[in-house]
Amino acid sequence: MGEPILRPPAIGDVDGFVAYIQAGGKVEAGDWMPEEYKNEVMKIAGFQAILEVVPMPLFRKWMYMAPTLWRRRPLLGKIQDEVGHCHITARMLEDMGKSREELFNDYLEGRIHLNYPFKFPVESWGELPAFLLLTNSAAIVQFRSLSHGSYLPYCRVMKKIMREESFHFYHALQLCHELVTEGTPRQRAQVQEGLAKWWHIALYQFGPPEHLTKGRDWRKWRVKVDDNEALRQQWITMLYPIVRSLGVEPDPALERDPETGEWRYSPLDWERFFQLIRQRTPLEEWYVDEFRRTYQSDMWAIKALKELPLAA
Amino acid sequence: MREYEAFVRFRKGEPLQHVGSVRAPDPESAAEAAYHIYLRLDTFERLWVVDRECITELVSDPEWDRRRIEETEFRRPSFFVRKLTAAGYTPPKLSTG
Repeated sequence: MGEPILRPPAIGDVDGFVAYIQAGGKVEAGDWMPEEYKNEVMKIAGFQAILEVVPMPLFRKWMYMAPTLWRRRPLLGKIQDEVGHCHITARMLEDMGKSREELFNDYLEGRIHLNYPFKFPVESWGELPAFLLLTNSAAIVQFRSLSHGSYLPYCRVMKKIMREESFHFYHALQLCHELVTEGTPRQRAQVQEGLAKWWHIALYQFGPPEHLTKGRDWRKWRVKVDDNEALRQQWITMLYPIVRSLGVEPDPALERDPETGEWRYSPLDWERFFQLIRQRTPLEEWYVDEFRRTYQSDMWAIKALKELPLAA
Repeated sequence: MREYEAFVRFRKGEPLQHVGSVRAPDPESAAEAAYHIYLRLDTFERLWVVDRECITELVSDPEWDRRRIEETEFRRPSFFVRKLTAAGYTPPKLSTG
């Protein structure tokens, strides 16, 4: 095989580890890794795990409000998938030494913040698929990139998750399409206004451009491989034709540079982003309450499992 | 002598794959034996041997599985892609690679 043979670094050799990662080296569970690298993986994976499970009350609400049983089922499927995604990622984190209790407390005590789009409510049944379509596809773009990272157990997590995310994506797209083509004028307006609203919010999902984030040297560890702006560009390329085909011009200022292929869009308000990201909006307060309530009411089961004698 | 099942990760990042089994007096010899028997022709990344006694198996019930998959057909991306195509809309291909 034509691949160059990369020698994994010796235990304790941080510089060797960085050089190995920079040369495209990959890390398997159980390999030696510097603390800083481990923290980087736990930070990224912990954020994603929390994001999978915390917005559940929103989906549960809309699942019950679905107009038909036929529509309720995919939403129920989605909830089950998302909880499963949290389980898979939390399991990987447990292997790295971070327990679920620590992970959940990180959220409850405000050390992990929700991603920007999840701070805003979905107002109608027609807006729901617009929200789902845009945020899900943004997540897919992020997961696709993360699946090429340097920590292999996490890459496998991403691959497993993406297959289910594509069901969520096509479900949202089909619901948008159905409401736009066969729905009432009001429903069509809800979807189209929803797409315009969530297009703008979803752009923030990828995070601020590099010159605004300071201090975090993510390039060194290659757990995350692409910068935020590159992912945002990929997402626009993927989603713009879809949003257009549903009859929406999401951003009048949007245009593509014919030479570089780069999209130019209306400026984003990063100051407001930084202000809001560490605050809890009323919706997020509701998430926290629901999370705490469920966590506490299920505590007996967690305790019972812990006290279970290990099978001989 | 005990029976050990051998699992190999041929290339980094791939899942472990079952390659066969060996009989050996202890885990170290089992790994050694599996290395010589199953990995003669290939390079590999990692080899695991697991005492057969430690493995718990869940065997599928084909009839139940078929029904389960049929009834949750809506959970596959292809289900909604087909619906969109039938409605005259060509959905984009989602590259997840």
